[in-house]
Amino acid sequence: MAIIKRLYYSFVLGWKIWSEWAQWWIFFGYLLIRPIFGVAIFYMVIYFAQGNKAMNLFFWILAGNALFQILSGTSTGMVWTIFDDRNFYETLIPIYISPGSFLEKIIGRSLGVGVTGIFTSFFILFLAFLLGANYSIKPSFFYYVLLFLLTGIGFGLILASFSLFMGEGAGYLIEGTISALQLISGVSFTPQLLPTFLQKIAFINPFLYLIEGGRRSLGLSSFFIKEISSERLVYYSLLTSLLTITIGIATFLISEKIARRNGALTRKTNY
Amino acid sequence: MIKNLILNIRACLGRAQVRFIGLKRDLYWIPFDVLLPLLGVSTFIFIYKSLKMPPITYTFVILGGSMISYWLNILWSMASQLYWERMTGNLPLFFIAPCSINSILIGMAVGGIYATSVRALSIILLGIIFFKIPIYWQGLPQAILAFLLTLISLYGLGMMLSSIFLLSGREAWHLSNLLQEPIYLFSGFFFPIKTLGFWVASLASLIPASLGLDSLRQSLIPESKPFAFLSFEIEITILCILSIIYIYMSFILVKKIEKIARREGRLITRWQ
Amino acid sequence: MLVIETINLSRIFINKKTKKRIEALKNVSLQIQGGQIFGILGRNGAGKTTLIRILTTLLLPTSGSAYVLGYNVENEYYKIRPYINLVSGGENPGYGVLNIKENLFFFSQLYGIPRKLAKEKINKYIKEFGLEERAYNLVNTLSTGEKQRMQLIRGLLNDPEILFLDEPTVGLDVESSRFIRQFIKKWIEETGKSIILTTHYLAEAEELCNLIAIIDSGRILALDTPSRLKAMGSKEILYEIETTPLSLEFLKNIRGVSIIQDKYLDGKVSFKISLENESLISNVINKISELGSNIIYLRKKETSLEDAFINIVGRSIEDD
Ligand SMILES: Nc1ncnc2c1ncn2[C@@H]1O[C@H](COP(=O)(O)OP(=O)(O)OP(=O)(O)O)[C@@H](O)[C@H]1O
Ligand SMILES: [Mg+2]
Repeated sequence: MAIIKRLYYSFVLGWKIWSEWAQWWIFFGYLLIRPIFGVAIFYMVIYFAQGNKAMNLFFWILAGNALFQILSGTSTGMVWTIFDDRNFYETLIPIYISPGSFLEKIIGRSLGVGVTGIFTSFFILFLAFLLGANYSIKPSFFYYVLLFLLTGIGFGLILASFSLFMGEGAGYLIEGTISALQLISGVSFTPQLLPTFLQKIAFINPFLYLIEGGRRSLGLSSFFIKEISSERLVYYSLLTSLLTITIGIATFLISEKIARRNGALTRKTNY
Repeated sequence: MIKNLILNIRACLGRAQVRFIGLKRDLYWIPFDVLLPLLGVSTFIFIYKSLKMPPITYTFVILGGSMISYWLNILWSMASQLYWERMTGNLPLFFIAPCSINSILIGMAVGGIYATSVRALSIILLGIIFFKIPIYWQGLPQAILAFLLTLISLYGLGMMLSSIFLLSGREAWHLSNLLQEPIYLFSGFFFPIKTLGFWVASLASLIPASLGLDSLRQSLIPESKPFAFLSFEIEITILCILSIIYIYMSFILVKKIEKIARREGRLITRWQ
Repeated sequence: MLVIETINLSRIFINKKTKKRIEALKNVSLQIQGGQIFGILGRNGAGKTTLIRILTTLLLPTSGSAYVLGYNVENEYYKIRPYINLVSGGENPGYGVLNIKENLFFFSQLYGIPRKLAKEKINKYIKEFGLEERAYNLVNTLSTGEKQRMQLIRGLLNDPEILFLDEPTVGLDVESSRFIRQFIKKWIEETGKSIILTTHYLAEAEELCNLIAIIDSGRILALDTPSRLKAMGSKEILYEIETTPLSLEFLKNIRGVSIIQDKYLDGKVSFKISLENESLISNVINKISELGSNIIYLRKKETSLEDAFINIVGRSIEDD
């Protein structure tokens, strides 16, 4: 019970920092403008290539991006939280020494970030509907949203562990990992287009199956990995996100210990 | 007069040198600097691949990607720079010194262009290696002309934004962050702006990257002529006009900033 | 030569949020001669920095006028700028990714100093300031004292006619501030240029300044040499005396003498007296020896700048 309460408080705190550090128009700007124009860019690229003939591919891409957004938004948000805490607000130390474990607080705050990620994701799907997508949302969709959130937190913990030790370079680490992951997870195009060696990596990449499962829960026919049934994907995905979050927590606990030993927590990295 | 010119040239080179040294110290990140934008934009190459588009579209994207690195440099190292100089306490020293703030801004631009060109060229090089993008090298002289004009007007805009950001502080910073995707859309980093339709494309031409990219694509990929927004000559003319307007405006804004700073006592102080 | 003149200089700030008017300077009229260290002493928020900002062309006066080296700060600022420089305590302008030499070189270029000359000057000052070993360290690895030395070098690079120092030793330890004070004194002696220094350290003002202006709530309340200011501290003449055992009753019979404090210790009497005029002390001494006591210790208590400050401003420079 106490843990839930503390998680809740950290969640509220995370949400507040995330939303209140700027005026409402800025906050909603971030929530709405970026997705709208992201969608518009995809649309224009496809429109330029095929006119309105490739709308199915367009909606397929939007679904992948919407789902991936939960994972990427949550994990990057988490790292930025740590990063900003340390460099700009100098609140990392007060947070760290207040009662309750650091991990709990980080997870609690990342839920705040995760909520915005989910919002953006739903908003992209909503835009897709407005543009005529015929997704048929199955109950398993919400199951996948939850899995993406969990995976995002786990992945965020892994990235955050490394960024505890890094300066400005953390930005590159995050962006790079996310872009690379996006490229090999079938978010915007089928991995069969990748060079052979990347294809091999893509097909053993568990996130590929997570995205695929999510897409099927929106009733999209997949262009690849047809042979795996949707039920199997449900289990694969569960396994993936449980594994990610376990690895995330473990990495985080270990690196927290190391950070405490070598003083990385108190090091300010910007000038 | 001459003495004043020498003073300002020295100040300009001095500020540019700070950037050169900064780049040298940061060399370590250059691979990431190059790979990240490449990873980011290659998604669009693969989308074109899945739509079975000809390889010239890959060149579109790669050229766009290298232009993105200039745009990001404008955003992160030009537009927000005066604001940062204020926060570090440098700004009052710039005002007190006999040189003009303009020469400092130009120095930043020169340094920024140098540092970013390393990245932009590497992106193109990697594009040639990985995606075998076709490039029509005979068009290089034209492309260089277009490119130089684009840089002048783009960094002119950056200098202008720098003053605007200083005046409006964090809000402007958020605004530019918010405008990232819209700018990506309207500059046509991933597709020719002609696709946006005449009126939208015309408005988008206010961002020098739009016409700059369009003229670059025309000169380096002859097959792309049908997708070009305006003729090369017209685009070059507009870029010239934009350069003059933006640089002139940035000079005016710097004057205005100094006036406001001295009258109201904010801008130079750190936290007000 | 008159290097600075202000006539009824006033500056009003308007707080944007509360719409409150803050009069940071009120009718300040000053005439400062060159070749000396002129001190501006005041509490936090007294208006010191505001005055410095106006004189360094960073801020316009609301009313009144100011002349630096004969030029009006309002519209001839570009003629003033080559001849002045400013160092503010507690601020570390410069670039973290550059080392001391590179930073100093950058700032020298803002004054258009030729490359070779600039480098020579920088090397000379780095040696004088004992920063040779740190010369190639990035400035974000320097200690506060080292940073401040670098800032002082920066202020000297253009050989300013007037160097403005806004609390240059704030936050430094005893040794670093002593170093900076000694350098300032030497520089003025050797070059005959001028320094305008603000501070809220009384001892620093007393040690360095030829003239001190005491400023409070934007007004100049006093302007004089440190010793004459101290004389304004108190009109009383105080003595501390220690003798072999003795009854202090006798003091009550000398007119113009009053006891402020007395203590009886084992085998000693120690007391503090206040005199109406200086000559009374010989009466006291005579009386003591008449009573058969010996004087162990006698000292005239000097009035301090601290007392003077309290007297002039109405409160101590330290309390809130
Ligand atoms: N830019 C500004 N906007 C509004 N008020 C200001 C501004 N600058 C100074 N003030 C106000 O003017 C008054 C004088 O400030 P000033 O900085 O000159 O004091 P100071 O003597 O230098 O104090 P300190 O010892 O703290 O440096 C203060 O009340 C301050 O709040
Ligand atoms: Mg001050």
